[in-house]
Amino acid sequence: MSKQIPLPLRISETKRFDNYVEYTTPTVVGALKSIVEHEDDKAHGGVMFLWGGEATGKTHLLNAACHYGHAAGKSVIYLPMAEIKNERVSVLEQLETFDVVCLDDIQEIAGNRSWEEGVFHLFNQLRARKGRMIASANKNISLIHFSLLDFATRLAWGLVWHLVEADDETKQKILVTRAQERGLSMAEDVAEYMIRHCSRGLNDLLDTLDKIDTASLAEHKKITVPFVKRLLA
Amino acid sequence: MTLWNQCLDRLEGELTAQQFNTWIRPLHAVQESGQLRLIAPNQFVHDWIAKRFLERILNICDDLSGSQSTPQITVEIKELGLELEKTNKPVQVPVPEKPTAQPSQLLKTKRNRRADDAPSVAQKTSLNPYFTFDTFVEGKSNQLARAAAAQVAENPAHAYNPLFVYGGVGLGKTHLLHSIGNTILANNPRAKIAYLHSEKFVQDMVKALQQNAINRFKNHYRSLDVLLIDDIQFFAGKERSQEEFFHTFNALLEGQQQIVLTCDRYPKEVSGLEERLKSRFGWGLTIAVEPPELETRAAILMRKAQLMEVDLPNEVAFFIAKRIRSNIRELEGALRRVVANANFTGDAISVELTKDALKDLLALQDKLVTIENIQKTVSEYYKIRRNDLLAKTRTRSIARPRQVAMSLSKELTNHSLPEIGSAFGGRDHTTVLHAFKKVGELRNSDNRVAEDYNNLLRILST
Repeated sequence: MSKQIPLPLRISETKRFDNYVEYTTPTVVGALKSIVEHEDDKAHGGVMFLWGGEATGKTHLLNAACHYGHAAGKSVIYLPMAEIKNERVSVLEQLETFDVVCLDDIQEIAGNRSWEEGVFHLFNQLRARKGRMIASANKNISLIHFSLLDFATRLAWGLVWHLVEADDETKQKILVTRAQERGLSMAEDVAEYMIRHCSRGLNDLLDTLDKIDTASLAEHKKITVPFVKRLLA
Repeated sequence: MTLWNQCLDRLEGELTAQQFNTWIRPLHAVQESGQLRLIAPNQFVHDWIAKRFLERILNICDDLSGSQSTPQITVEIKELGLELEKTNKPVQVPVPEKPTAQPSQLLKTKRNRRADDAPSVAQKTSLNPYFTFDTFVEGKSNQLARAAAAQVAENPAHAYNPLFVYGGVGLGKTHLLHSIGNTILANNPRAKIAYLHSEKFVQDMVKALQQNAINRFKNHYRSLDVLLIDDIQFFAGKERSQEEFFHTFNALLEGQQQIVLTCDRYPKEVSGLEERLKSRFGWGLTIAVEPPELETRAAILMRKAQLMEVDLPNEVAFFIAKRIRSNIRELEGALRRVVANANFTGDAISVELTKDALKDLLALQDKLVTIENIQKTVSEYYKIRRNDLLAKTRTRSIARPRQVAMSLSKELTNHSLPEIGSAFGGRDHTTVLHAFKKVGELRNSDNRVAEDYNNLLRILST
């Protein structure tokens, strides 16, 4: 049988709360839902700051908050600061009219005075309108070198949440969930094999899943341990 | 399902979640009589959509419409108009003229005004009802500022005008501004009061200039009974805004209307601010808010907990207050984490639970608060070498920072006095004790030393 050449398209994975594999208690999803729904202002003060290392689910959670907020009738916007910071600060104009503003990788604007001021003013105006700000960063606020201390303290004002790296068991669950979303049938033992034999960083594992997906499509093969073993050899 | 919702479904499948939530989801769609209007929050998003996504949107809508005719699709910019800062009295505001439409290769652009955005009547006051003198916790660090604010609130335009409150971030300046406004309003519900951040004044002015509504802007601000303006350091470098504010300021003072300003530093120290403004700011009373001491920090936590209807044991309040010294916002943030943790786990708030909830913060502090790091931070702050702190030099420029570093080591670490002395070039424990007492005295008598010490405390404990 001839090999099928797969299209170089990566499946767009919807980031929702229901496909986020929760692995900590208390649950971050519960806290995020509460802030998005504009519940109990006293508990979070209208701002939430999520921080954690690579592949701890920050981007997933922020996008899931947008998805959830939209379904709940809230106006939402997500800003990936790593990309946005290269554009003009005017991208922030009038965003205070949104119910929920999510800022990913906020550490990216640290030291950039005009961006820090722009987000600081957005924060103040959003707060005056009872809007919500959810921000994420790869480290805790006090370790980010913001030049505008006023901005840093505002982020620390709300609910600060530390996201820790998933353990192996959770990573296994994440792999199986992601595979299912792509329509792949992946047995637990395959996921277990990947955890034992591949680089165990979650992003590396997901890249490996991409490879497996592509190879299985090209070769019309089921995903089994021997198949993965051969592929990774 | 509307055409736009079907289009959204398609786009959600084609784009990454990030692209979708940044550019597509924020669009507000209005479908009416053969037209689909996509309203972008600002010019930037509008241009981005026009350049990168509109063609695809048109194709999808064409495809979805099938044999039916595709509606005309336009991308517009949401226009808020000039929303002058809310006062407690309804203010009639005329609708500004529509700006000229901007042509685009792919689309017809026109400005949109949503009915719910129309600033025909300003809404209720922008004062936060929770920020009152009752909820303001008084301590040695802020009692003068509170007393001055209370006098202004009881006797506006007659006690101190302007009242200028300055101090570091998160020390309660904004709380005082709102308290003044709320008290004046309670005493006189007809008073026209506006609370705003200085940046809002700048933005309103820019918008007023763009929309040819500068006279309305001037009339609005000059007709207030009380103007409460926060963080005036953000006027720095904005000459046109400063000039406008200068005239507003004069008009209000001449009209015997109250002005209260806050700033993160003493007015003379704000660079980029015109001299004439600095000088006028000093015409009334200028008063500082200092970082709260331990007892006040604990009292603030207990008051906040009470407002959150949470039972916070004394020892927990003191535990948090001892560890978080920098500012009230961080204290409040820490309390929120503890409360959230207790709510999610169903456990009562205790020191153990608090340690667990704040473990990352505490671990970080422990890492920062070592004698070695204190020496490093102090030497960097005073721009001297760390070795100078350990040497025998007795010149004032070295001896004072050394005393400050010793005092901080005693206050922030659990090391014994002999251990601290030993870490400072083998000095005696009585030298450490002397340094601690000396710095304590100087903090009460010399503002410069007090400010340096507080800055260092903040750097080391955040």
